Amino acid sequence: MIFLDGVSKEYKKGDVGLSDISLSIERGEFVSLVGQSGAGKTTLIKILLGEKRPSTGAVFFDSVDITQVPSRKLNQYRRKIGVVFQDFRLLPDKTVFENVAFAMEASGKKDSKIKKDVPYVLKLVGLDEKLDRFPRELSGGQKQRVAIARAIVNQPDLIIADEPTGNLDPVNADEIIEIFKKINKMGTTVILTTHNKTIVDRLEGRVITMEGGKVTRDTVKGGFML
Amino acid sequence: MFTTLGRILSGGVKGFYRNFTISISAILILLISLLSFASIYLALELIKPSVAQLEQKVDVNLYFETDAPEEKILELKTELEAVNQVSSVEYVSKEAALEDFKKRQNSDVILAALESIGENPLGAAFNIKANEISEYEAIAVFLEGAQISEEYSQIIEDVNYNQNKSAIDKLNTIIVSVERFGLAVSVILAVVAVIITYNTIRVTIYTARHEIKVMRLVGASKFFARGPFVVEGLAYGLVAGLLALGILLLGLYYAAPALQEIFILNLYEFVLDDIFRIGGVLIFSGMLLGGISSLMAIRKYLNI
Repeated sequence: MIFLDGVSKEYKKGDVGLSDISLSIERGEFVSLVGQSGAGKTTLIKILLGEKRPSTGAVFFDSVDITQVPSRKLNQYRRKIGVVFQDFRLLPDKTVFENVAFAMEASGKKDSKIKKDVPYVLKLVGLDEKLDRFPRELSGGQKQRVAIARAIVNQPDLIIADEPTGNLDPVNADEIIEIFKKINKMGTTVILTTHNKTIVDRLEGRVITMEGGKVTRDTVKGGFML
Repeated sequence: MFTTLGRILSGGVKGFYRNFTISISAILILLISLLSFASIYLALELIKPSVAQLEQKVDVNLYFETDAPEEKILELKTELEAVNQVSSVEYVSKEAALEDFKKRQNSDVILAALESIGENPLGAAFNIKANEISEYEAIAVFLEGAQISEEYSQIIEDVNYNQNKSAIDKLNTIIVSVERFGLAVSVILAVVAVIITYNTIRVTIYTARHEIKVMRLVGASKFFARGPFVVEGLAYGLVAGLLALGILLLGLYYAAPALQEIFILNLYEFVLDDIFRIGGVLIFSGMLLGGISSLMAIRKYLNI
């Protein structure tokens, strides 16, 4: 589904973000991407989202090299991906309902489908009572659930979650991970970056370890090792 | 397509009132810009009739000898009227000149002296007006020609262009400088207003840059992410335009009578007579400024 072929990213001042990364991720996998800060996890995520372009190498999503897709057409590709960030990144002036609906509106879904699907996914993440709240009125855990609802509402092929539990307490973090597991069981590929050892160990899935912009370990059923 | 436009419109309107403080500051800046434009425009309109009135007071007089035959005089009148720069030639006959003179003199001594002469000592005259104040020069050249011509040198006593010349020239300079100054001030003000408005809107877009990025990352096209911000910009312009018109009318309602005493124009009535054009221009320029500023300010945040 995803295939990275010799991807490197160098920054202007000569800092190396990623160096010669090649890996492939199959449909339906749950991949944990671990590594210390500065290991290149976020750079890799940004490249997968088309937010940054690699200096060299190619990134295939299905059979399309997204590094060759022009910026104005990237949104077509992004609609196949749901994305969740550590800092939630909800639209502050939109209600919970509108935040989730925005992803559907942006991809041109019908109003009737939006009215049906948004409450449904918000129920999935346990927020069906807070449709009209604004993000500022929610707790961190609740915000992250809204972000997940937004990420899954278009039924994407892939969910990318960059440190989704980084700002949450352990109880909320566990609940969020459970939601991702559920999503993965329904067939969606999940890529999750994290610092959290307990989470990775509990997931018992594929673990890719990064260090200094390189992949140092890739175990099909591994634990957290640094 | 209509669904998309509807969503953009509703997103923009919601953004407008949910970010009320930001909207207010952008509207205020736009309002100040629009009011400055309007003031310059109205100031120029205000002095126009006063200048026109001054221009009306300028003329060149040609005095005939007392024994100049009337048919000759009328012949010259026809010739003068054929000159391009001449707008009108008023003929004051000997008799009319005397009547006029008598009316203006209420001193018995002078009237008695006039009586004792026994005949009309005054000659006929022309009051010549030009289309433009700068054209008197050309008329003067024509009259000088007539003064030395064989045909008319005998009947023309005097042309007073040279006495009036410095006054006419001065007035001409003043009018030209007022127009140039007004134009220069309007241009400078327009540039300043555009820069300030653009910067204000840039700040409002800057505060929303993360939002724009998120919109793009969750799959919004550039058009869809940009749309609501442009709608907000247009809304700032619409509200600022309406406010500017309201403030203008209210201000002029109270200021116009006092202004009318100095200048001739009643500005309140002037604006009221032309309210659709003036209001339209205010609202349209406000929306144009707001919309284009948003469009330009958002560009660099969309490129992800």
